[in-house]
Amino acid sequence: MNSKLVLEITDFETAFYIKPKDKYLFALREINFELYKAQKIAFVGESGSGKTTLANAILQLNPNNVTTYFGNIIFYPQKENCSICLDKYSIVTTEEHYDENTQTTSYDIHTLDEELLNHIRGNHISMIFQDPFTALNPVLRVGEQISEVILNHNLNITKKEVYDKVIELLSKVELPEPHIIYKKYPHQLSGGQIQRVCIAIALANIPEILIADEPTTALDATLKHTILSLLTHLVGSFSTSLILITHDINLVKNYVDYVYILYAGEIIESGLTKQIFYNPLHPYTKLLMSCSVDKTKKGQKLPVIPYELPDLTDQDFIYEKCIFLNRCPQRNNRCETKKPQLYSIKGQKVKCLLYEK
Amino acid sequence: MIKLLLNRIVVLFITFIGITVITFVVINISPGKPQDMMDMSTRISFEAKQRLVKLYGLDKPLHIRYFNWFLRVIRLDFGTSFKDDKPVLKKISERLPATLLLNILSLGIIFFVGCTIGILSAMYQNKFFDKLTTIVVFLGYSIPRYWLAILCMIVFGIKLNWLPISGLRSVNWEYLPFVGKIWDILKHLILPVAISSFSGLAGLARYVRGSMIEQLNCEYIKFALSKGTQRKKVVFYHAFRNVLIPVVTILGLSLPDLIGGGFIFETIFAYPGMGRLGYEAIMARDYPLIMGIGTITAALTLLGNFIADIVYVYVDPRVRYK
Repeated sequence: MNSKLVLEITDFETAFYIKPKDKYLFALREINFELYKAQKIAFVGESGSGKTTLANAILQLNPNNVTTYFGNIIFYPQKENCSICLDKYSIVTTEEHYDENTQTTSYDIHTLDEELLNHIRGNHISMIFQDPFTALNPVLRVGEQISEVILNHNLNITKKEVYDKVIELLSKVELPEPHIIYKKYPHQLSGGQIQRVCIAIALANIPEILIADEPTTALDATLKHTILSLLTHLVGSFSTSLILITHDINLVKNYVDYVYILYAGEIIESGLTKQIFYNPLHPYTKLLMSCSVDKTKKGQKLPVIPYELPDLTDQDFIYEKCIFLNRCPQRNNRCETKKPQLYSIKGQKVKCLLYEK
Repeated sequence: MIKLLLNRIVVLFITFIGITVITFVVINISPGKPQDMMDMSTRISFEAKQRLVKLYGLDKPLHIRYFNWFLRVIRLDFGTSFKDDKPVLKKISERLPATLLLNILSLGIIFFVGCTIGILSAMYQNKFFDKLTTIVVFLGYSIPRYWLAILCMIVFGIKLNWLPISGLRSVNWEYLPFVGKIWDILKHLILPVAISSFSGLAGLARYVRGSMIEQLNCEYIKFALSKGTQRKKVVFYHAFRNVLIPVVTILGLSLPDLIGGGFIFETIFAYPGMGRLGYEAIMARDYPLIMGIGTITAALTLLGNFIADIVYVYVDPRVRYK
C-alpha cells in the first residue's frame, strides 16, 4: 500500500484486573497491525476472542479502573485544517512524533488526556455498536442525538446549519423522510433504521477511522448485506478507513481488503481477503471456514469447533504455549513447548508451528 | 393519549369512592364514640346526650349515614366539627398551608440532595464518598424519626438553645418586623424540615444510585462517549434523563405524605399542620373532621398521582406513543 498510514498498533496488550480472584486477565496480546487511509480491514473471531476489547481500546472506552494497556496505538491525524489538533497536540507531540520529511504529526492515543480524547472521539475516530436497540438514548429524539456529535466538534455553528446537516446525513444513510425521522424517538424506529442513524452519527464529522463493532449481528439476515454495503459505500466516498469487527467470516468476504483472524486475544492469521478465503493456513481459520450454514448439507449437524477458549488468566499457558493448543486437530508435541511466532508466507502471516521455516 | 387520561380519571374516581367508604367504615367500627367523651362529665344528663346523638344522626344505620354524608360532600359541605362546631373546611384550610410548607420544603430537599448523593455515589462507586454516604443515608433510614426528633430538640433546643423546638411561630410573632417574622418561621422550620428530609433521603438516594449505575452500564452511554461528549454531560444529561423516570414514580408515591402530614411527627413538634389536626380529631372521635381530612387528603393525593402520571408521560417518550 502506498497511501498514508492512519493507525499503527504495535506490541499492544490489554489486561483486565479481576478483583475477586486478584488476577489479571490478558484479554489482548501481541497485537500488531497498520491501517492505511481508505483501507477496509476486518477482525474476525468468536465470542471472547477480544474483538470488542480491541475496538474499545482504540477509543479508550474500556472501564478505566480495571484496565491496563501496554504498547502503542499511534494515530496519524489526516485532517489538515484541524486547529485543535495543531494547537493542542503541540503540547503532547514530542520530537519523535513529528516527522520532518513528511511533515506529519502523530501521537499515542493512550497518552492523551480526557479533553483531547473527547476531541478524537466522534471527530477523528468513530464507532458503531453491536445492538442498535440499546445504542441510542431512549429518551432523546434521534435528531438531537445526531446534532450532539456535530455540536461537540463544531464550535461556531448555527442551529439552522446543524439541522440542515442532520437532514443531509439522514438522507445520505438512505432514510426516507428525514424531517420526520429527525423528530422520532429510538423506540419508534426499526433496528435497521436505528443502525442507519448510528452510521449517520459515526460519519457526521467525516472521521479518519470508523470502527464498526458487529454492526449487523442484531439485524435480520436480509438487512445485513444492505447495511454493510451502505456502510462500505459511505466509508469509501469519504475515504475513511474502516475497521470491521465480526464473528461471521463469510459475511465480510465482499466488503474488506484485509482480514485479521483473532483467537483468544492474539492475531493468529492475517492476509488479504482473497488469500484468507481461498487459502486459509492456520488450523483455526480452516475450522472457522467450515463452520458455515451454507456449506452444510440438509439433515447434517452444523459443524462446531470442539472445546472452549483457554483460561486467559493462566500466564504460563498463554505466554509459553500455542494459544490454540487444546482445540487444535493438527497439534504435535512441539506445540506444548514452544510458542509460535507470526510466520510470513507470500504476504500472508500465520502463527502456527506447522509453517515454521 | 386523551383516552389514556380519561381512563386514569375514571379509575381515580372509583379509587376515591373506595377510600371514603373504607375510612367511614373504619372510624365507625373502631371502639369509642363521640359522645363517650361526655361521659367524663357528670353535668351532662343522659337525655342531653341522646339529643346530641340524634342531632348528629348517629342513631341511624351505617350505610344511610354514609349516603347522607356523601350527598352533602358532593355539595362541598363537610359539616361541622363535633368538638367546637367550626366548619370542617375552615379547620382544614387553617392547617393545610403549614403542612404544605413543611413538606414541600423537605420534599424539595430530599429530591435535590437525594439525586445529588445518588449520582455522585454512582460516579465514585465503592470509593470513600460512596461508602460514607451509604452509611449516613442508612443511619437516617434506620433511626426512628420521633427518636431523632426528640434528640435534636434536646441538643439544639434545650442544651444549645439555638432553635425553637415547637410550633411554627414565637409568642411575640405579631410584634416582629416583616423580616423578623420570616426569620422566626424559618427558625421554627429548620428542625422539622431537617429531620424529615434526613430520614426520607435514604430511599431516594439509594434508588438514584442503583438506577444510575444501571444506566451508566448501558450501551448508549458508551456510544455517547464515543461521540466525544464530555463525561459530565453524559452523566447529567444522558443518564440522568433516564434515571428521572423511576424518580418521578417515587416522588408520586411520596405525595400522600406531602398533604397528610406525619401524625406523630407533627404532634412531637406541636406543629400546627394537618397531621396534628388529624391526630386530635381521631382522639376525639370527631367523625366529620376525620372524614373531611380523609377525603381532602385522598383527593389531593389522587390528584398528585395524576400529575405524576402526566409528568411520567413527559419524561418517558416510550409511554407517550404507546
